Amino acid sequence: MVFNFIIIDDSRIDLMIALKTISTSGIDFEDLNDFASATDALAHIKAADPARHTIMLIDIQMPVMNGFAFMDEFEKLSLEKRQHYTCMYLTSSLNDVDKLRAQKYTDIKAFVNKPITGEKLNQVLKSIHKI
Amino acid sequence: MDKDEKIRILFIDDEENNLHAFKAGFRLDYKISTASSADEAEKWLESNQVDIIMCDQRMPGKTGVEFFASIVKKYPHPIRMLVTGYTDIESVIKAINLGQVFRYINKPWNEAEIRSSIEEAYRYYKQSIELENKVNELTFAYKELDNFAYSVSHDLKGPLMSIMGAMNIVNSSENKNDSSVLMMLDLIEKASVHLNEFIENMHVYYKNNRGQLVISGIDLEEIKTEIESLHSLKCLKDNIKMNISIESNAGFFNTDTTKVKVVVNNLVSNALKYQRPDETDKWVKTSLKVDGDELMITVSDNGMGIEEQFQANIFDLFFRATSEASGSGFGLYNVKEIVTLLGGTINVESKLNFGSTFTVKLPAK
Repeated sequence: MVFNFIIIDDSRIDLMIALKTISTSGIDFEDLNDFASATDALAHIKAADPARHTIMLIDIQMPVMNGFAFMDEFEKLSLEKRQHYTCMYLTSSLNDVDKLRAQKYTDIKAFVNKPITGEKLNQVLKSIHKI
Repeated sequence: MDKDEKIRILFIDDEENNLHAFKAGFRLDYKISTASSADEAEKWLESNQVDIIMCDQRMPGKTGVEFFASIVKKYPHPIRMLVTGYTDIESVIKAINLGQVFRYINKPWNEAEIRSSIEEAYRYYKQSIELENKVNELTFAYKELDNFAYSVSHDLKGPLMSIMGAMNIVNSSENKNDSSVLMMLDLIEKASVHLNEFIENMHVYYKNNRGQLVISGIDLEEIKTEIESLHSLKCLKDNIKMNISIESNAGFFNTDTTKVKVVVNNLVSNALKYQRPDETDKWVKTSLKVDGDELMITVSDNGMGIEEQFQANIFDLFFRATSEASGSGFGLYNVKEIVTLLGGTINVESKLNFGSTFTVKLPAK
């Protein structure tokens, strides 16, 4: 299965690390888009018409629009649009409250702790998409 | 006790004579209000504040105990005392259990006994209110501490996770000399610098909360030199013109110089950090001006500016108005704390994509 990826993280370093990790993970992908702001990512998703399934990695603690506010907006989109995305949080949060809150979003399929590695990503994708 | 701070007492009795007698006996020392029935007292309580409520037990309609039991939830603070000539153990128990009365006073009353009961009740009343305030303060402080610990652990862990992530990539790379390894090393350095900045800011935050002011004559020249040397590399690298002007019309100006330095340094760092990359003529202008017994610090830039809707929040702890640059959310909070500590004011004028001007005014200490 070939995926697209979207990464949302206000830390440019972490964006770079995620990009690098995905490209060396052995996972087949076509497009890889990174956003330092969730508002920009949301605008992109609203406008986009994805031809293939997109894996979305979202940081939680971000200024202006955080990962929760982003999912609030994302879940307002039509099911037709949302079905093309698999969302997961990628965070350094230790907080159980964040984890519990993440579970309230039916579209959040995984909660991945930083730092991201190729193994972690493969494992999560395997459990969600049975690849 | 101050005249305005007389203990406020509501006295309830169905016999007008008793009301008059009580008022006559105590009105010089206490602020007395009276009511001749439970209903009247309840009405009075709706729009008045009182420290102690004294109520006769035997009244037509509601008894004193019933009255206390009916108001204890709505008005938990005033101390309740039951006055009665009719004593049986049953009513005493009821008074204590239902009405939660503080004292039980026998009729006919003894003035000295009433006085000492009132004083004691008032002390108790003050203590319980103080205790309640303290509990509220502590609950609030705990909540703040929770938020603080949450944000700090996140912000400390963030850069470390970046470093570990970059290390993973370096370690899994076949060729340790390829360009991606060098890029990761660069990222590791940036994350380390960020982490270090955060820890330093946290230290300032801690010191602000604890430290005493150290007052001495200010040396504007010294501040100028120090700020310039701290930021000259950044200015060179990012091609930003930095100008610091100093001016004084007073022989000396007393303040906490170290704290003033933290303020200037934070404002200048921000001005340098939040630039617009596409601007060809980037500048940051700082002015330190002593005018009589006031020090005015202004730091202006033509950088990215702050969106109007966020301007009210920029001094909040851990607030960040942009995802464009990596801030700790400590900087302006620390600045504001210091300015407040020194008895000064801070203002910001800013326009998105045009730049910001921060103005700090500090009185001489």
